[in-house]
Amino acid sequence: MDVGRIHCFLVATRGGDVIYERFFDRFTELEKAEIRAAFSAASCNVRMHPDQEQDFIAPYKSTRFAFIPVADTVLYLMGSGEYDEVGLVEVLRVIIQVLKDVLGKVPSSGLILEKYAKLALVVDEVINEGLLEAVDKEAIKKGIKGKAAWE
Amino acid sequence: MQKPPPQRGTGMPQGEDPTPTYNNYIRSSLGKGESANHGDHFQGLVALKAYDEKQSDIILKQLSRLLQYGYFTIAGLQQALQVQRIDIGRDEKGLMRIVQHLVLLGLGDGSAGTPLPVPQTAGGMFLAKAVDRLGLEVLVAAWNDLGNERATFLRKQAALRALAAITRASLTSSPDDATYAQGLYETLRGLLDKVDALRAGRRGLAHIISQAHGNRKKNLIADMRQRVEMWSLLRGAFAAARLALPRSALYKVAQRSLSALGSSDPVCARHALALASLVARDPSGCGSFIAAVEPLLRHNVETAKRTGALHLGIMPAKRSGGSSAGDPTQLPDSESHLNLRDTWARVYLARACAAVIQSGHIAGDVGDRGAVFWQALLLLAVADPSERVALEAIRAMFGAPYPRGTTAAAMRAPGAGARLSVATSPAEVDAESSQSKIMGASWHLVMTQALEQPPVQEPGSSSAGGAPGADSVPPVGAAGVRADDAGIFGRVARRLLRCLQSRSHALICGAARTVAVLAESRAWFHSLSGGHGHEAEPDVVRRWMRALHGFLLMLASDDGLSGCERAAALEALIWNQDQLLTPSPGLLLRAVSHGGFTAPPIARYTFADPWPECLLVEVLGVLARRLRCTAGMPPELVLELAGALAAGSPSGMPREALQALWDLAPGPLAARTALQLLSAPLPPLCQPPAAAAVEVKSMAAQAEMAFNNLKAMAACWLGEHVNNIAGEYAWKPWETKMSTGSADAASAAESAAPEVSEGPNAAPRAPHGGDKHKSAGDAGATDASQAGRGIGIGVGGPEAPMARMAEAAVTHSPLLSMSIAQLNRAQLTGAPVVRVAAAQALGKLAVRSGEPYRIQCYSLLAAAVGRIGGVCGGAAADPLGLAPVVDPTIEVLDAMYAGELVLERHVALYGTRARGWPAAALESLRRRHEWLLTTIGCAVCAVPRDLFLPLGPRSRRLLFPNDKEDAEEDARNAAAAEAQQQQEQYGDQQYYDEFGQPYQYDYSTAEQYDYGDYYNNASQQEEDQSDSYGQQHDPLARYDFTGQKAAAAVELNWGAEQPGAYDGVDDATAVAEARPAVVLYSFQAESEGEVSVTVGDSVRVVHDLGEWFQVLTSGGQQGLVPASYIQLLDEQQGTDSGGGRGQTQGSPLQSQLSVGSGSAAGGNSAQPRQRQSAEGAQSGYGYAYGSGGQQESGGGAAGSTSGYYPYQYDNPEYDAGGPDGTYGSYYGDYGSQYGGDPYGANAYGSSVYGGGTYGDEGGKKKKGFGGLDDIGAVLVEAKNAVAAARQQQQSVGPLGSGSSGGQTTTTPPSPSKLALDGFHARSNPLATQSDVTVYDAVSEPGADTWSSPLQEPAPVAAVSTAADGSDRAKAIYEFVAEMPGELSVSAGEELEIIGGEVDGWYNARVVSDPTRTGIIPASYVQMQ
Repeated sequence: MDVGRIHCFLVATRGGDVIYERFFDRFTELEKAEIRAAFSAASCNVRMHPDQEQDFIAPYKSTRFAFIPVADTVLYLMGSGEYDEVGLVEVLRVIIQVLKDVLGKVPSSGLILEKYAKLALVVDEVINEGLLEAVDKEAIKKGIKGKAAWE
Repeated sequence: MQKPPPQRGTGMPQGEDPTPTYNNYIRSSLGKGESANHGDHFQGLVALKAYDEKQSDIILKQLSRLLQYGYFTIAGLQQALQVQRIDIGRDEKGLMRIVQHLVLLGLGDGSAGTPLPVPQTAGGMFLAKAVDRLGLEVLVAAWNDLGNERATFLRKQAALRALAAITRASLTSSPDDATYAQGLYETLRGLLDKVDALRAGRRGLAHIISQAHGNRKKNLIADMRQRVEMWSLLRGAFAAARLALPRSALYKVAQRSLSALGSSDPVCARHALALASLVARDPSGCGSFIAAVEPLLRHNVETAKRTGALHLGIMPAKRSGGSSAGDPTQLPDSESHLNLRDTWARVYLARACAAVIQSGHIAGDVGDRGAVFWQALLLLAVADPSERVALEAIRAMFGAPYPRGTTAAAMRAPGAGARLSVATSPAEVDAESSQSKIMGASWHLVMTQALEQPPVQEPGSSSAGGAPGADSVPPVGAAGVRADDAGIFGRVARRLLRCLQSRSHALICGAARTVAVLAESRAWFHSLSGGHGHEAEPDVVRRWMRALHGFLLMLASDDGLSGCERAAALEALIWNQDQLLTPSPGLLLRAVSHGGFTAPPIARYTFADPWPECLLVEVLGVLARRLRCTAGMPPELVLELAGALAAGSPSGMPREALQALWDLAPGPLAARTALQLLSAPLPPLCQPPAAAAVEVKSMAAQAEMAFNNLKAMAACWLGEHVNNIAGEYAWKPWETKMSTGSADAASAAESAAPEVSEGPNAAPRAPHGGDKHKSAGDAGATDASQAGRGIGIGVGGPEAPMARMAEAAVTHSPLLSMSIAQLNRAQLTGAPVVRVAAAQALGKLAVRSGEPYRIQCYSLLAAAVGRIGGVCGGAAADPLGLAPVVDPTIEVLDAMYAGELVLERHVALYGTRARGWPAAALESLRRRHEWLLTTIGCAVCAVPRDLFLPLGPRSRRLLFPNDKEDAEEDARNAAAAEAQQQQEQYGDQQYYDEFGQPYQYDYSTAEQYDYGDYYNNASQQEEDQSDSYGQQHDPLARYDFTGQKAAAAVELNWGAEQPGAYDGVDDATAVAEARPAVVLYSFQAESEGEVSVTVGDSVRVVHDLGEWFQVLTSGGQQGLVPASYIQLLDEQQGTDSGGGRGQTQGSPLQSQLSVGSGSAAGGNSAQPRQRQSAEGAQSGYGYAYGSGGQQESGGGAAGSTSGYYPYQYDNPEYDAGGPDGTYGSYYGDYGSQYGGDPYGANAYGSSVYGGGTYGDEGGKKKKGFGGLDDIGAVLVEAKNAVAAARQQQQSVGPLGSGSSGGQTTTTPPSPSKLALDGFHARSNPLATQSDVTVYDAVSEPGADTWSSPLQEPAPVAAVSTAADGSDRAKAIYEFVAEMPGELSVSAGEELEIIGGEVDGWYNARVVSDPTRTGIIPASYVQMQ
């Protein structure tokens, strides 16, 4: 499918420390660093309202990324093609919503580090190798437990 | 750690596997006593093999930590594959899910975790991937479960994911290796077959319904669970296909997806619809899509008309309860309609519906066959609760192209993100063209339906509807809202406006892009309908489009938004058809300077934040498409907007993209833009406040550098393209140019005058009529004031040749003239990088253009490197540092001009046809032609080898003889003779073009053709008769208004060369071989065999006997003279200037003048010319027809330049020491080169030449002639003439009176004066090789005190200081000589100053007593 892909999901603190990153393409370490730097440059000193979960967008090369600050973290998602700004933000909101449900509260950096596997699996359920997969909260929650929808 | 195997397929660099380690941040997050060792955490994976429930928490923690490493090793993958097979129990599925995730990480392309600290050297490496290290036999364990009937659904799902991941990774590693892709396809095909069988069998819907009627609940639940499992597996299969299958296999799977559109699993339905939309796009598959989808979609639409929501059609009235797809107890009749619960499913449906409507099957017939799809699209656009779906549906409705994703490899490709995505290949152009037609047709379709009501009413307007919610627009029917807003277009527009007013940046951006699609389709419709599209538009459309654009205009200038939103808003504004809302360049300049997220925060908030490259390229891409759309925005504005982008973010503007845009634009307009950029002032971004932070200043400095680079790019682009745009090529016939390119170029340049306001640096506006002289001056000048001086001083009266030349240049091609002037200005005043680019561009123009542009460029280049002395007073050689760039061009041009001159002389001798030429001469001509072409290609620019004639148009028929043409010409000559008679009879002139066709200059069309004066010369008319072809063909002839050219040709012919001179070459005599020499010291014969000579005598050296020369005196005596008393002229000449020199038979003594003294006969009338004054360098066209190719200090081309211009190694002219070279040693080894060549030295040694001075001694490196190859001789003549003229000019300055000094430096000598000087110098029999003496001799023959017998020839270096003129002065104090050589004078004595001031001394002569000469302190003298 050449209509679009999600290239990268990343969670970082507001200070720029990366908590979790998931690349769906084979980037070199240098390219990964560039992407992180672009994320950081776009989000540093952006006037964010922590409670409102305002979305922002920025370009990177021929792709776009969206980011939403949540608590003391910022969640980024980079995609191209059909995963345009609106689509990316939609996927990000799904992830944030499920994370809130799974973790029980707003995903802070400490909480994410503590429940690291859950974050990784949530992302894995929502995005399958660069393709949006599940968006249903219940299905995702079952998925990270290794259960089918009817189980 | 495993060693990496040899790289596969793509050859991507792979490094050693790094040892996974934590970065500092993760280390700091570790708990007390927690290990950071990878091995410790890896134990969690190992422990799963012997799973113990008690260790569950520990293992979970260890696995969580393992996930944080950022790299899952190959060894870890192998371990995970083994663990995956183990069934550790129902309660620990969560742990196994983590293992599955790790397996996916190891198999797929991606990575996860936290940033991995890798050595800097490994930054560009890829981490090792399983597909590159492990074989199929190991990896197959990852998807073994697919073949296992008893495997659980989750295992099968994991296996499908793993197979898709590794297939994708294998295609990344080896795109051509289809092993995995084939395996995946076969697996999916088998799976789909099985599912089809299941659906048709026991687990089919019909069976389940019958079971339900039988109330066999247990079986029913089991069957339905299996049914859901089946859909889930199908979902996995479709997802795997979308992920990893190549295009061909994907289309095969896509065909199978049509049966799964009604799946009860919304995600399965989404994947199926995504694949089905591919089928809909395929012209051959669209029919099957319609057949499969239409019945289902009809149900959805019918339901939506009742419920108002297309996506809720899954539970139509059969069950009143909820509609959870995951609830197996419900009995859906899902396969009767599309499952559109998933948002993205509706996105794909929207695209598919649009594709169907636009396809040939429906072809826009939305009232009948396409009604269902159109209504579905409308429902999605106006009534869908998801804005994303609505925006996608609106875009699809207006014909937006499918989105295109990118890949990591594409992002990595060179120039990725910096290239303008424009169609280049014919297929792409077709696709782009068809896309624009689709958009135009889509607009038309929507317009026909614009006032129709959508299938569902607005919530606010329905009887049962509630409040309009967040809708800021009052409902239909309320006060202030028009009724037509309830139509389709009104609903769509209002929805877009709501999105634009949203808080979400993403939604604003998406809505702006959607408006851009609307505007683009509208523009294309207007364009395709020939500008009449607006007539059919309902009023509501115009009103809403204006409202949307007004809002976007506000967004574009809102600094609070990021670049993405503003870029989208600008995109829409660019497509806007409303003249009132057209974006201005100023708006773009401001918009582009903010929101790029590229600047440091302090710069971002205090100064500017220019856009990055990718955004600029995006907008440039829109501009490029806008250029192709003829309606609406004029192309000038499009290009101006591009210029504003460049000025707004110079650092981000990719030069390739800007060039690509210019290439797409109409030539004259693009040239105008390039000129604008070239002369533009620095943008505001480069000028931070003085008190700005250092980050701001750093950014400004970078921007300035980037802007200069853009200017340099503009100069390069001009150099490369302006000839083409102006239609001016040296190889194009003049008349053709006049009739085709000229008018367009002139009119374009008229409108193309850059409007950049820079005060005195304002670019000139090209003239198009009016005052000719003013126009000439204006176009030639880059500075208004200097232009005035150029007119007044340089051009003079109407008889001044430069004026007419400049005028001719400007009127013929104003664009080219203006480009030359602007490039010259950039060359002189720009930043170094701009200078170099401008000089290179001028060089290209010089080579590619015909006259007079070539000579103009030549003069400008020569002035820039200080050769003419105009710039920086000539004291500093190469004041601008351009010599390395300019010198190769100058050398080439010198060679071209000199070659043309030589050719002209030969044409005078042998005619214009090849058959009249000696074979050797023709061969020499060809050699010269080929060498010039090669050298031009190497040193300057590419020229068409088949067309370009560096030796001038005359060489064409000599190089490429054509019998047919000759025959035709004979006929024409006869006709011409007849015409001449008529002309004599009626006083009319008839001219012939290149092809011999008569044409008439139309003087009524004014200045363009006003060259009439050039042909009024009687002698020229005679030549016209004898050589009409050559005369009409020679571009220089058009400007040879002084008639000196013919005279010079006579003067400079190589001895008394006559037709047949190359015959009889075997009769060489010793006398003819004698070499010219001059006697340095008087010698009295003391014994027999010796001969007495006097200092200054010109003699011929017949034999070189070592310490003695056997000489032939002018009196005819032969005898011996000591060698030390004799100066061989050809030797010195060769040393100094690297070229031999021709000599006339009748005046052998002229050979004395050939070195440095400036025999100006050739140069002053012919091609090499120069500009003389400093102002001239700026003012454009104050040219002096003097000579060209001047070298400082008379240094020869070979001596001064061959060391560092590689192209000269191939130059036969300069190849002094290479007898084995392709062209042999030009001046050197005649024995090898010309030994058997009748055209070689022996020809010149024949008795025909009588007392000729051509030195030729076989085997010795002597200088001589090589016929046409001997460009050096002409060059030397020309250069000497220039040197003489310069010295004279300079001498007038410093030595002249104070009142005249300023003027002389700015007044170029007129050609006639140069010629006069040259002739004087030549006719002076007593002149020596001293430059100084020449002009003394001119003024006072025989009274040359500087050429005393004992005086050594003046050093060349002294030439610049010792002036050669003389002037009157008066001694104001008494001076008594204290040293020999000083001149005692009394106060008030009249003096004649000879030469310039040297170290505070003048060389003077008492007027009343010319015998008293000597030097006198300058302070004792007052010039008069």
